[in-house]
Amino acid sequence: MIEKRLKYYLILPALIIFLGLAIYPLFFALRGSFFIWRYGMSAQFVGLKNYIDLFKSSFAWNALQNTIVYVVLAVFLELIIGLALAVLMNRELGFFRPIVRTALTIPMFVSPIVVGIIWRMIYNPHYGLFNWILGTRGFAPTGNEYALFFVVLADVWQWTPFMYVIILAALQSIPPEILEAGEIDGTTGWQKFIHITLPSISYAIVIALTLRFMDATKALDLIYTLTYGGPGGGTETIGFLIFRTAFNDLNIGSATSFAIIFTVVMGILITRFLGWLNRRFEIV
Amino acid sequence: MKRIIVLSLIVVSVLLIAIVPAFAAEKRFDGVTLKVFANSHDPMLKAVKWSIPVVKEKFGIDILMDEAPYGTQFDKAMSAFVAHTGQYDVIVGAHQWTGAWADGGYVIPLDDYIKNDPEFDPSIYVEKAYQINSEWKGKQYALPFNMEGRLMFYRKDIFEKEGFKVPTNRDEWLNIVQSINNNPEYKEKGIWGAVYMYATEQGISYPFETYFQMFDWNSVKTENGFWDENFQICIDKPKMVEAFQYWQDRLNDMPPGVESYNLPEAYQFYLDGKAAMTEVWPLTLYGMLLDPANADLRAKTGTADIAIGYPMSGGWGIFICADSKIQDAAWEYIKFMTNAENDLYFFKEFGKGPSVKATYTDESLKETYGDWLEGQSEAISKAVSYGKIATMSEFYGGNFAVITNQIMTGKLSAEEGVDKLIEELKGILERAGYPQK
Repeated sequence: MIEKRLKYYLILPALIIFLGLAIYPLFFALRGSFFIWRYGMSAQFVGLKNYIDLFKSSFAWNALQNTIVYVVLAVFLELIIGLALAVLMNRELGFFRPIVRTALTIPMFVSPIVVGIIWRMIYNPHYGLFNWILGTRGFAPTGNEYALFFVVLADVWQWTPFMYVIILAALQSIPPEILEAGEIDGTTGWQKFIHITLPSISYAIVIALTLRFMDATKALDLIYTLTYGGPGGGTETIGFLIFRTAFNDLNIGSATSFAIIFTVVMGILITRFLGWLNRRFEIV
Repeated sequence: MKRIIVLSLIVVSVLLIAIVPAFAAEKRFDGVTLKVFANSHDPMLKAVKWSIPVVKEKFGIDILMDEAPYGTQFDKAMSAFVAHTGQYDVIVGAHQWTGAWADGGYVIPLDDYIKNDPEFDPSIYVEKAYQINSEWKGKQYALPFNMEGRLMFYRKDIFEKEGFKVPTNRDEWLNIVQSINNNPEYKEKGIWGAVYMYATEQGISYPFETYFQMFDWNSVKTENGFWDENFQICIDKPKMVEAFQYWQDRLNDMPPGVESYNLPEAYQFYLDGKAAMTEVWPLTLYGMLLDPANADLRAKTGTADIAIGYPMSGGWGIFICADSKIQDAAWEYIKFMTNAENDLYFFKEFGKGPSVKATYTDESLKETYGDWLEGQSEAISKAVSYGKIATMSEFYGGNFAVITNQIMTGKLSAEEGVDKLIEELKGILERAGYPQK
């Protein structure tokens, strides 16, 4: 009898912690989304008003649009460049290989806040490195309607190494016999890459894509220091808008309703995305 | 004999035990630890740090200091206040936070201390500074600590060479800007007529400063031209549209890239001698100009009242937290930190914006700061504060600021943008507890 119950007793501490730190705050936040709730003022029940306001808000739609562009573009570019770099670094480069391999990972270890500040300097229209490289003067990458693309560029600079590291590790785990067998069968380099290499590393690509997708959707720190969502909300993403609503405006109720919708939508998207990738690449 | 010696020793010991603490307790607040929440803005932070050994020596108060930058201080303080952690006794805060803290009962009105303390004389402060930092609904919630009004910096050498007079209105100002921009000699050198900031955080000020100047202050009783004394919107829409249109058009007269400019970029642009005029928070730029490396530019720089509006005020006060158990010690501390002697010292040593009248007329400052102090004094006398309602944080960094930026950068027309601003402001006022009729 005791042995039968023992398993429940053993999971009880973990269950209490999980309920206390994950489930309770989730329901607390859900409840908060039905109130006009500001720090220091009494909460007022408003039903679904926060959600309705959200759908009416041009700021929310603008942030959603920016987030979609940001995520799709950044993750896609990071994947392509990361893959290219990994394939390149998987070859014999002699003495330089360990140095270049290590150097390529450095941006990943810099705090996004610092990356934002550095890129703000790089993009300075009058003294920045960007204008110097282009040979232009007075071009403000983050001061126009294309600002979001230049924020994406900073993100790509920082997170391409993440893709590169994961894909490189996967490339190195491909058994050489498979590649040799392909060569014996007369495959060309391109055929080998498409039909042997890529399927062999697809699981790593799925993992890297998923992690980057989740991370990019909540982009905040880089934007905070690089553009603060400007100009005119042109680089404001959902993560930034939730942060601004909660911690600048102190509109906890509105921010919570936004965060809940965001979590649900992202949950559905990620589940479907993973499902599609799994089916497409026959990982499971 | 032995017994007498022992007895004498006991008597002496008892006497010592009784007398020593009596001497040690000479300071009124011995053993009291005051928890001060400072702002990370350098001049104010340096002043608070300076006070740590000084108030220990003077009052016996130990200071436990916490600090946060502008962007996070309000939210951090609110978290502590709402939870009633008693984490802070004294807080250095921006004037626009007064309503949120006072309405929530998180800071105490100082009126009783002011009335009952014979040593305290409020007339030492610049009236505007005392009122802005931070009078709210007829009560005084803080003593003024740091005061600034925005100023225009201009290149005296260029003005003299071209025969320009310091502009006193926006038409004169624009003439100068366009004359310099169209002059091939300056074009060649990369010198622009003016560099003004158009990014969300700082760009918000210019159109409102212009609006403040155009607003008919006799038409309604209001502190900011946004809402009246009953917190009902009283915006003069045609004037606000005109002010915004003016600044939207001015983007064409600015150096490329100002849409991404905040203070650091504007300071640098001016310091590099690339602009004939700029309007910024003055203390930091003035401090930079006092650097020997900038001595040449300093000699060529003049400061003047802004030509294109009433300057916005930037004021900081020191508040006493309602959860504090040592409010008497806190009062002594804030009184000390804002007294005339320290106001002068903090300005000279750390560049803190003076709040005391005597600092502006101090003879020892005339040579180095004469023109600046004169301009600053005038700017403060005209300065307008955006207000102090409980939801001011939405006004500064929320949708309101984003819409302002959208109009300035031409994403929205002035007409459409001002309509949006009014709608947004209605929400801000309603959320602060003032339903709109």
